[in-house]
Amino acid sequence: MNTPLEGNFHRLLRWLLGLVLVWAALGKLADLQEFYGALLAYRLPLPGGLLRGSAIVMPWLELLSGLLLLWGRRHPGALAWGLLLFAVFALGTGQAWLRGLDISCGCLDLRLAGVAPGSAAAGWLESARFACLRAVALTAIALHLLRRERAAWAAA
Amino acid sequence: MDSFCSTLVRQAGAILAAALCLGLAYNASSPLGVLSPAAAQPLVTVWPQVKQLLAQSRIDLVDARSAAAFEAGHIPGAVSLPFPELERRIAEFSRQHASTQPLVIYCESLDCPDAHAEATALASRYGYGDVREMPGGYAEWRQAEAGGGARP
Repeated sequence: MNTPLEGNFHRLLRWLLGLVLVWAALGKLADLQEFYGALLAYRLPLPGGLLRGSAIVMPWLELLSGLLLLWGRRHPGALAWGLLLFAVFALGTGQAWLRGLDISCGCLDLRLAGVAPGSAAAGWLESARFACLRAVALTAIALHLLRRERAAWAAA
Repeated sequence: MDSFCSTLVRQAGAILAAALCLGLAYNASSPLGVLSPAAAQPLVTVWPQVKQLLAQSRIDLVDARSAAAFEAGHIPGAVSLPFPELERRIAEFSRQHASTQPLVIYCESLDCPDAHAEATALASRYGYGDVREMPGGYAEWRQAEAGGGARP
């Protein structure tokens, strides 16, 4: 049985995931070519068609999943997509970090948070290292919420 | 499969289907959509942007002028791929530059059509996914970096 405090805490975590997903989606949808360029900069050994498809579909997966998480009704499908997307971001940025690629992660539009492009803060927030650590933390949160959702579903 | 898993799969499938439909429709209607290689037209860029990307090793700079012009002087860091020799040299170029590597192509100046032609060919015929053209070319670089005169 969850206490009200636990319930509020988990609601905040779900809103956090939803907000990050919507934020990430809006920046990408504003300029799909820029996002596609960011994907290419990761130098992943993937076919060009798959990268183009990802650039087209991924922002909408983020937006829809993020909105459903913010909406708040039981949506294990949205949580599952959030988990998968954050895990993919963690892998993508992690390999870039390990390979020492000096890239902009292409994850979040920092202008929406008032951070000037090209500033030292933007460089750090956009670095593969910070993006990887952030994605790992968000993956862990999504996994925790999904497991909790499953337990709540079984108890209902 | 229990009811939780079947609900999860059903919802995830619905989200994916909606994202596919919205993504394809938005991409087709957006002026900043991702183009297929066959329809790709090279994006245009300018030296200050190229300089920054080059310093960060995020692009390969390609000189589309003749080998003789390249020998006489070129932008530091550029590789030579003369447009008239493109078909003969593309195999060697492809071995050294993966199709996922962003490229910026330049030639002599605004009057020179080779950079646009080479950028279009690399994107549409040879599958390079991120090809940009620097229309100001070598003249723009000389004006900005070498005071308009020097030919390193």
